[in-house]
Amino acid sequence: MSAEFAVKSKKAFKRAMGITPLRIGMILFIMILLAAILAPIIAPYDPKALLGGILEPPSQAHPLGTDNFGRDLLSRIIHGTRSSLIIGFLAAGISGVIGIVVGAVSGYLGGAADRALTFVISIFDMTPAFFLVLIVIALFGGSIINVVIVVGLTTWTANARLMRAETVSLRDRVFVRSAEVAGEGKWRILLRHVVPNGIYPLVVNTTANISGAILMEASLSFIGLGDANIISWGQIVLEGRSYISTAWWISLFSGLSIVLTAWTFFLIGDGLNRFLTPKLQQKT
Amino acid sequence: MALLEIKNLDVRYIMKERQVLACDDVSLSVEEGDSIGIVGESGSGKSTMAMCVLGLLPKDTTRTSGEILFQGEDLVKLTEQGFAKLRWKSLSAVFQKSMNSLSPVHKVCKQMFDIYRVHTPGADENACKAMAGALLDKVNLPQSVLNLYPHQLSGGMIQRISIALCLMFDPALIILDEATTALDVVTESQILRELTKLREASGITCMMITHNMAVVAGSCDKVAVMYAGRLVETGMTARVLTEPRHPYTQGLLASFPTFEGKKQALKGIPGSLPDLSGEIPGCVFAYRCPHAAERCFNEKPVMTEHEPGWKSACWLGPR
Amino acid sequence: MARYLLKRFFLCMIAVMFSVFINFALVRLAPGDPISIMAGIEKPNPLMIEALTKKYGLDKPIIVQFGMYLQNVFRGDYGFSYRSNLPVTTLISERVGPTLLLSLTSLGLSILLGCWLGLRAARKKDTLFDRFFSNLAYVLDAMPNFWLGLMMMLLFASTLKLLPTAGMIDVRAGYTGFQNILDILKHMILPVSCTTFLMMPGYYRIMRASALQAMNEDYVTLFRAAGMPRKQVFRSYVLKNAVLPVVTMIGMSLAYSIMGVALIEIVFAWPGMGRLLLDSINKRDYAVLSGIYLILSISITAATVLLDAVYAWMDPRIRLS
Repeated sequence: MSAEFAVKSKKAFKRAMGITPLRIGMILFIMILLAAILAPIIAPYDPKALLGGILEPPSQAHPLGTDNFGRDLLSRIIHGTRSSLIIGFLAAGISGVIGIVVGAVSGYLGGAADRALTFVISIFDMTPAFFLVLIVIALFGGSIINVVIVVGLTTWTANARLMRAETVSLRDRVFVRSAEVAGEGKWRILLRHVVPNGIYPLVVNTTANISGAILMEASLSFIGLGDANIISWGQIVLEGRSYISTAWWISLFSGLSIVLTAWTFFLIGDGLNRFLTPKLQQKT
Repeated sequence: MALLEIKNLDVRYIMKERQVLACDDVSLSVEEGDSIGIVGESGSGKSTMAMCVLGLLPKDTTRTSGEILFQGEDLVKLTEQGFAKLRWKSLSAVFQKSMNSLSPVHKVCKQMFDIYRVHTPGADENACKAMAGALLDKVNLPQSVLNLYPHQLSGGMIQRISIALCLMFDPALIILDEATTALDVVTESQILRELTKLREASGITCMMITHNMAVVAGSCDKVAVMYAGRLVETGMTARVLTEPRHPYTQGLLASFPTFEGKKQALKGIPGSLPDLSGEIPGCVFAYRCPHAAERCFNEKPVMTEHEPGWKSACWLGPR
Repeated sequence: MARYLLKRFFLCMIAVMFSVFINFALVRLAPGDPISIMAGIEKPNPLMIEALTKKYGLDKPIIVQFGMYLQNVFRGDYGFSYRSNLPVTTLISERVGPTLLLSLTSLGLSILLGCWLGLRAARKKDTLFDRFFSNLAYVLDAMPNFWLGLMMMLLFASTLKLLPTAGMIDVRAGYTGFQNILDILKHMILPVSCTTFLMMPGYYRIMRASALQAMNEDYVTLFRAAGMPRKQVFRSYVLKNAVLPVVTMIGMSLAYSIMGVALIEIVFAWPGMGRLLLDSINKRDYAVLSGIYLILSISITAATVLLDAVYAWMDPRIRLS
């Protein structure tokens, strides 16, 4: 049994790594993750230390230059990985969980409950989420927790739609029906049969949502609503904006790290999509 | 000379990491006025063969070799322009899923007229209407459907329109690819009956692709049975269906109910289609055949004629 | 169709109510007292307090407060900015022109360009063209638009000095007439390209996907078998079927696009609502923020109803239901 499982997972791994976007995405992701975990070790300087030389261009001592306070940009960018990943994962996670619950319940119960929840989803879709986030952050402050919660709360609708569609198609399948006949409870069926079988499109969307959340945080930071207590790439871009024509490296490199990270999760999402929905066999 | 003569047709689907031999050395001839049924389960290569005759296989993902002689022309070598001349005036088809066989955002008349105008450039509104009227009469539909959209019609009505479309220029050969499969049983038999009448009245040659033996029994004079890309048996319907020679045909017939004869348990055929990406040296059916001998696994069986026009590819004699 | 549109209209009305409610609730849930939040000043003077209390019924029960709030919104009163001493609607109407100019131009461009490229990619699936643009779409999606704006500014304005860095007009030149229009166009190039790059990937992808799907439909096989040239099948049938999802996409991406436009305006100091937004954030002028949010909600839902009508009219399956 376990040997068979090992063979199976080895095969799946081989197939996954055969998908170019997934392979590139995973390699990049591991590098980014390592940078986040090992930040204090691999960063050449303390990201908050004022090292004297202000706005120094990239050099041997400072590969990416220094900022307007004389802090080492490379070290700041490496440490910034942490906040980006935390925000990305938590916000996408919240949005995923809400999406699963609302979508599965709506799709499985059907009838009036379904209509009501679909209605709620449509309404949420029509509100300009970014501006809502902006107002909440402006009123409640831009702490990292607030950002995570608000971004999660405003991006769950796509997940809910996906989960609902999956649930509706799973609801009438034989294994779900037989579980019902066998007398399993509704919630148990939802948890054990429906959600695990319908979650794949959500996994793909959630991966893309990680990028979305990272970009959203960057946007908030850029208009000055970020958490002042953390090192965030968006804030570094904002700091560099005033020196764009003289010290271009500040905005350039911090922005590039946002692009790279967001791109990584888009690649993984695209790759997972191909991995989980294999091309339909040609008709013969 | 036969109207359609398929000789040693091979069709391969080229995929990234493997190739699938969808039609393997298929030879078949269709005489003028024939109504031949091509039967087999899904994946047997019957639709591929039909699409190949119509020249509709994607060029970049398929490789075709052999000959398909139609009215003396080799369709395998025919260019896109060559097909453009043949298609619809001498060769037409009705396809599978009825609901999507017309564009959902265009009226029926626009779609009918457009096809008509491709072949009769500059035909005016009146000519188009006259043509459409005559065709709809043939398939027992009222003129009013012309101004409707497909979603306002039933599956049966849409399939009738598809049949009307393929009769537009009285073609020499019509290919019906699972034309009635998606319909309910009553509509299906109704349409099949009308189709037989039309065919008998006009003498059109018909090739019916189906997985349903009952359709073949009801509306085809000849039958060709395909399995895993190979032709395994062909002959007059009356003979093949009553005394099937090939074990696969026997199995296929045993899995359909009959109203006559002794009460018998319905039997399926155990096992599934072999993997067609590898070379199969022997008989493709050997792995599922209840009578398979050693030879069946090693040598490819040859089509042998038992009676004029009745052939099968099996090493074992009749049982 | 009337029923469908009525239903959509009803949904939109509820969506607007929801936005109003959120706005109403947030002020009361936020730390600090609602009066100073609405006034935008730490210690508002007694006159202000009295005016605000009366206008929003702050001394009355919460239900009554909401009713009065709704009444104000439907009367077109979105609040008063004590910071600028002007009604919010006046502030916004001064800025809405440049924003519309920027956003509608880029919306049109991105739909045209995205669809054109998407159609080409679908027809040439798996070729270099398709792969290049499909990958580019992902990279563009991963780019924070404000950063893209900064980089383009760095390259084309600061370094190459080809285009103006910021603003909508060259104030010092004082152009009039045709020269003025030309000047505005010149100022528009960078911000418009940025917002177009931002919105284009969505249209590219949906156009490509829906064209690919339409090309695989059975009717395409039928028309091809019937001898219709590939080009005619594509132009007369695939196109009309494939374009429907794009219409839906416009409505769904509207809110997202507006956010991109706001950020780009901030980068290029474009005198539109994005700037107003940033100023209000910096000045903690909550009345303006909430006004912008409400007006955007209403405009977006109105646009959605309009697009629904267009869609219903284009798709006979809805038009004739």
